[in-house]
Amino acid sequence: MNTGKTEPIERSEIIERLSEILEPWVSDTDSIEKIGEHTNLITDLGLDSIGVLQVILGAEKEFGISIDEQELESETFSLMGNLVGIIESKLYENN
Amino acid sequence: MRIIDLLTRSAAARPKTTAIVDRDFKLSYGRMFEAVETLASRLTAAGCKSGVRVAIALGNSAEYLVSFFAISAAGGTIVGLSARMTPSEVARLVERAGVSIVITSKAYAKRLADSLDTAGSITMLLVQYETGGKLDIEAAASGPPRRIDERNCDVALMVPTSGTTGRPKIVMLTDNQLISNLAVYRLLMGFGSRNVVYCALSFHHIYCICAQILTHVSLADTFVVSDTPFFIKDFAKSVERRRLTATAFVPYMAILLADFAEPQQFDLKSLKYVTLSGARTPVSIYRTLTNKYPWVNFINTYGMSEAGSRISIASPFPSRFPPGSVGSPMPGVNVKIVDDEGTDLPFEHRGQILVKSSGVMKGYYQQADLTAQTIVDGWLRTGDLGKLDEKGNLYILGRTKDVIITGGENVCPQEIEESLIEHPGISEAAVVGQKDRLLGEVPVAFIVANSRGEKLSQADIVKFCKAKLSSHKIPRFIRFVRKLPKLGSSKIDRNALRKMAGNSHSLMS
Repeated sequence: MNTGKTEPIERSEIIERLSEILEPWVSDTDSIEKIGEHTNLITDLGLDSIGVLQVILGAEKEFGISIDEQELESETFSLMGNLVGIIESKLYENN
Repeated sequence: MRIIDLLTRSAAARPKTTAIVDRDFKLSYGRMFEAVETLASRLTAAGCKSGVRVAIALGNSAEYLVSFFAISAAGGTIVGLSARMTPSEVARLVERAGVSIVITSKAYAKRLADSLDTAGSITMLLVQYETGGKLDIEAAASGPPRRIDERNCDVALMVPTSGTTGRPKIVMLTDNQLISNLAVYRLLMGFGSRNVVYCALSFHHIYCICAQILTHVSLADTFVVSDTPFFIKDFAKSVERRRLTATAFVPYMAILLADFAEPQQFDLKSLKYVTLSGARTPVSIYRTLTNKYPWVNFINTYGMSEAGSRISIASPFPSRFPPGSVGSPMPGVNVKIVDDEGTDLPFEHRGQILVKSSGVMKGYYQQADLTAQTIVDGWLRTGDLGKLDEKGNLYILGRTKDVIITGGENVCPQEIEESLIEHPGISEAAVVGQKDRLLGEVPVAFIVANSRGEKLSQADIVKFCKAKLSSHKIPRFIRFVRKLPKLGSSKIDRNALRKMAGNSHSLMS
């Protein structure tokens, strides 16, 4: 789904939509139900290199944005809250 | 000589040199050797000896490296697995390889509990470095070792490679096969002393085991271990912070480094050696790398689990090799190109690559027929298509097998297909590779649903797969079709599917 850049989206909605994207790439089903701002995508969800690329691709399509892999590093990417921040900044960067 | 001897020598020569940097934890060669001896005696107490198989189900960590050498020290056979595999994959391989002891972490053991029947038959050791630098070893389950397989007591390492679910192929390698051309490899690479080595590849890959673990332990070099997904910015920071000198990449990592827009923001000048293997790195990417980072030796190399140690290398003087080639065969390794009938082909002719060397595997575990088809008159049939030029440079041009290489990982499409058809709503499934700029290929599934699967969605199928398969094996694209193209009555026409895959739409759309 492509989302317009002018309509703000609640962070909780971004998390919810990201959870759906993440679900196929997370092996531990229990952990997906507890996803929140402080979830660590790498240590809590066990995302690997290919999982990361899939999630970036999924988020780009879901939110109609473009994320440069080069901007990412494990410290900033790993916390759900940070990923939400990256998505927000892309959604509203032209506003 | 055995694997453990490489560490013993380095620990004796350089006890104070840092062997491993794992996050902020450092371990010297002396301390690493002590930990290996401690774990080896626990393994011996648990029944480990020649012929007993011990699996490592850990992520990349100091604990993994200690376990790897401890198994060799206790005389056992290393079965290299990974915590990146799903518990059901690990359990299947533990069973298939006749493993008696599993070394893992507390967190992974919890996940493994549902898949692995530890009641009475498996010993499980949980290892973890404590804050003070002491290796904590806890026995979580214990059972008597399985009956020793006398014919394979000389096997040092068992490497699962792509295969079907029911019969995953497990390559057996002896110490000699693994170490056979280690000294020559070191010489050709021109490694100086005091290397700081970044490990981005999973420790269970033969490429990582030969080109990194065995090579750099024998040089008493320092390993910087990473268990996080590969981010190019993390790598650049690590080069600057740790003064990294060497690393080993698969193509998608090389592509990210070639695309890296901000190299000038980091001091990357310490980096001297980057080996490229796992699949062919595109020539355009290779050229970008050498132009952008002229102080780094980017070295194409070729190897596979069945060949044990490395087959070919574009070193010394990598610039003298044509960028599309994987170098020339290592001394002691014979390479020839043959046609479908097995007849030798002259230079510049495309055919199957055959390899003969002292590194070629002992065979596939419990698959004598397959071994006999794969090693014929001492020549290993690699399944890769290639050519030799008149200077003896080797080029990889494709594959004769259906194997999909995604992000440097080999995936057997039949394994994914077998998992898919376990779904009650799926009557037939076929998987092929589709080209992907970053990962090389990604798996694409074609599915014929039955009446119970009329309402199946792509998401349902992905969810179903994830319980069984590692993330790189989960189809990235799924297409529902009324029937599969066949050659004759039953054989799936994979070429037709590959053409159709070009039109697949993304799961994420």
